[in-house]
Amino acid sequence: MEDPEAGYSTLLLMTCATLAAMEISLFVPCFINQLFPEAGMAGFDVLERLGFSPRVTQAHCCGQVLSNAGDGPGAQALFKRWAQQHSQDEETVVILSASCTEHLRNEIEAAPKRAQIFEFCDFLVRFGPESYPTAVPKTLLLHTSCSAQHGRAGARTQRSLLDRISKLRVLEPQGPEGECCGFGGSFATTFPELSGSMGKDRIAYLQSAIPKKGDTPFLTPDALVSADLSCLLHLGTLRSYPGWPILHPAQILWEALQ
Amino acid sequence: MKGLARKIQERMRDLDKVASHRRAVLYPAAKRRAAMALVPEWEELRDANKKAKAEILSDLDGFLDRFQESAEARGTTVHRARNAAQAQEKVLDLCKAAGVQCIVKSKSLTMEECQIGPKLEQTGIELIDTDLGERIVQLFGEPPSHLTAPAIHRTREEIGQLFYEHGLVPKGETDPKILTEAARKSLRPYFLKADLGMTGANFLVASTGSIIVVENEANSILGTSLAPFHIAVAGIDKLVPDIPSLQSFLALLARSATGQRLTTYTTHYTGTMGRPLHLVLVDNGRSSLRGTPAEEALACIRCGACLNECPVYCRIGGHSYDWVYPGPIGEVLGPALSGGPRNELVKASPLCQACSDVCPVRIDLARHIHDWRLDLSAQGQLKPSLPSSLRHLWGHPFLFRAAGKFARHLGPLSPVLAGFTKAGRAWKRGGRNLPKLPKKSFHELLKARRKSNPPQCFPHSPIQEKKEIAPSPTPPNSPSAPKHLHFHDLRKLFREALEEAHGKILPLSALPNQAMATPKAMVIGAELGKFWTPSPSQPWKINGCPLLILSARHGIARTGSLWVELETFEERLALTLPEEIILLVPEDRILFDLPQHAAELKHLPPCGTLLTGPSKTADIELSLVIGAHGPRRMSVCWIPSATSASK
Repeated sequence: MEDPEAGYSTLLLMTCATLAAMEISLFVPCFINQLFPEAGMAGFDVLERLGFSPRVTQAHCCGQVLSNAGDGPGAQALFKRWAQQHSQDEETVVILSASCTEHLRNEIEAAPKRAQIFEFCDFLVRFGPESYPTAVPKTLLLHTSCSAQHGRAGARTQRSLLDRISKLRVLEPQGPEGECCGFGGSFATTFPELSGSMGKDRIAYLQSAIPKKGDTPFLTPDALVSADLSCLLHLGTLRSYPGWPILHPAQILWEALQ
Repeated sequence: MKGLARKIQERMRDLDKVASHRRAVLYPAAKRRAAMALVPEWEELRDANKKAKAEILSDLDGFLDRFQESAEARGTTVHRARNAAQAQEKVLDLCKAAGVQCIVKSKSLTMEECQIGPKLEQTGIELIDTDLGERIVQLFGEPPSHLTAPAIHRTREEIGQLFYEHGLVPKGETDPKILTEAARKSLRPYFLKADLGMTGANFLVASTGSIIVVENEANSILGTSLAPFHIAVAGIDKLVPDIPSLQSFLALLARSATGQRLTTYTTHYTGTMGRPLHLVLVDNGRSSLRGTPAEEALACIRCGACLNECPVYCRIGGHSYDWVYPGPIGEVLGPALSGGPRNELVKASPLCQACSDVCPVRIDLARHIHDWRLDLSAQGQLKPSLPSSLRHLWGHPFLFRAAGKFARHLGPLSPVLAGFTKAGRAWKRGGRNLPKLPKKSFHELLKARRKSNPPQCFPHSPIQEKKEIAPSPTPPNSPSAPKHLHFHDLRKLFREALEEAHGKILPLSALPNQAMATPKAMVIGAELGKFWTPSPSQPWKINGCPLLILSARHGIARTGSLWVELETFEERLALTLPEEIILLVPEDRILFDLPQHAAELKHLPPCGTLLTGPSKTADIELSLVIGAHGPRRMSVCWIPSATSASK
């Protein structure tokens, strides 16, 4: 960062056609605020560096946790608070979690005022640059959450986004789509043994993407990455977790913007 | 609540069992995926199905009346039962009036739901489940654990031991082939002596009054063809508007369930053939779903794809749900059709949406499960699955942030303390540690940053219009019937599909000189210079007959199926009782696809079946055995178009 001005203008030149000075806000969900602050900061920094000057809202939670647990009134109250924070009509909100995006999308459909909401990776695939200035010679293991795979939050956009970074190697299991990791909000504590077992199977599935010793190229992942850190919270606390550092794609993008 | 949670906790203690069940269930899921890859118009078919069922649900009573009218015009007697008790009573009355002693019953989830079998058995009637999987669970004395594979939870060793205890096989026998053969041998006498054949129904066609029964083993058609009396039991949700709309359901049902292009027998019962045919239409709570958002669950065709795909079902198995409908569809139907203890089934889902993605009628199962949780808790019939303290904490941003701050102050002590809370204990029970907290929250970091480094003013590029949001890529268009497919191409396609279904193509020159044949086939044979003997009309004379020749109206290339019209009971027996069958089909009558077949069906005979290969089963550990209750070998012979058969 010797000359941020110069780096920034190169970037602008590269992407001036797609970079709009959009009025956007960034929503950092409750658990990222508390447990993954670095991911939140990276999300903020990336958007700022790309010229979006995000407004960070004080919104606390989209209500998904309570809604999935069957607490309708509690979830509605949280969503109302959230909507108050994002009450500007046609406002664009970027959300740092795919499952929260999906929940909000369902809620917003029923709400009178419609904010435009995007999951972080989805937003940058649509409105961000086609390439990033700095190569990131790392190997990442990618976890695709159910919201990203089956839902409406933007199918598989995290992969498209990471593919725009040069020298980055992304390991993803081949073959049929993976099963749910077993988190599911309150599901994780309602049926803990089942949830834990699903988590272990998900880790085995992720490991199937890592080349075995003797394979060429032999790669070991530098980190486990996902647009849904809630899944990784569950996987990462499993006692059998292989210890890969846990990152949000925003943290990789930040490196690619140096 | 304890019920389900405890059951699952206990189930998860035997991880080997969980893993083997999961492996078994993932097998049909993989087959479904492979089948789907060969159908480019898959999504359009799902839409067509959803639309057809929506049409039915928009006027269910009207369609029911229309069905009843058309069915009764063809001689079928239709009864309506409001609930399970009425259905039991109706069937019992019919049995008593006919003096029924022995019933051969094929698979019917509605009968299972209404507990009709146990009721009949109480009155001393002998009731034999004839589907191999159902027979296995009947002998075990337990309910089925899957919608389409009732004994999927049992291993071949367990089944071998069971059959040994019933004197069917020697001790230690575990070969699915031998076990299936033993079941076939032991059940055939019941078919021959039964005085009632009972079936379910997969579809009821409103415009024609047809009852459609789909099966692989031939037990259903064998039962209804041998016994002098046929009772079908079906839910009112089984209606489809007409024969053309039926085809898109058929195109996805077997593919979704087992990956087959079409099930071996898709039998259309359209009216009586001189023997009584009764249908009991069961409501049993279905109407109560109407007008609710969960109404679309009535569109379910019971393929079981959502079970096979469900990460919860595949681990905990059907019996953990303690209900006839397990898995995601059971979770949606549970509160509606049963209520009480079934309400808590809606908790058994991580809402991963794998089920919604595979449903061939596009029921958004995950959304309905989620909605049920909210509705049931709002009605006080379900406790939210997070403790109220935690819900309060979450519901109050200030408290939540304060608690976070407090926990961060405690540092490494906070995970230890959290481990004493209810949620914390549960978290640890899943083999997990409680997460360590970072030094500062995101908002604290951001605040600190802004203090030390006030927001910079970045140069803005001129405001530009937002990029158009790219529409999601549309699925490739369907290959509607290729217009100029030569009949050689159709024959090639047919052959591939038939061989996949374990049938064979027989060259004309390989037709035997001596064989038994149905009257229609004999006429064709005579033109070919073959003088076959007529097939006998007595069941015991055809039973075990080594080879019988029949004729079919036309073939369907894409599924390798034949449309066989069965106008007499002799023809029905000729199709099902011999060891081997050959079907003669005019070579110029190969159609491409099911919709073309539907267009050909101007008049439905009282009984007709879409036949796809020899009878088969995969009810023992899902390993395929050819020759379940019907023919073990089936071949198709193309007849030159000059013969009278094609006219």
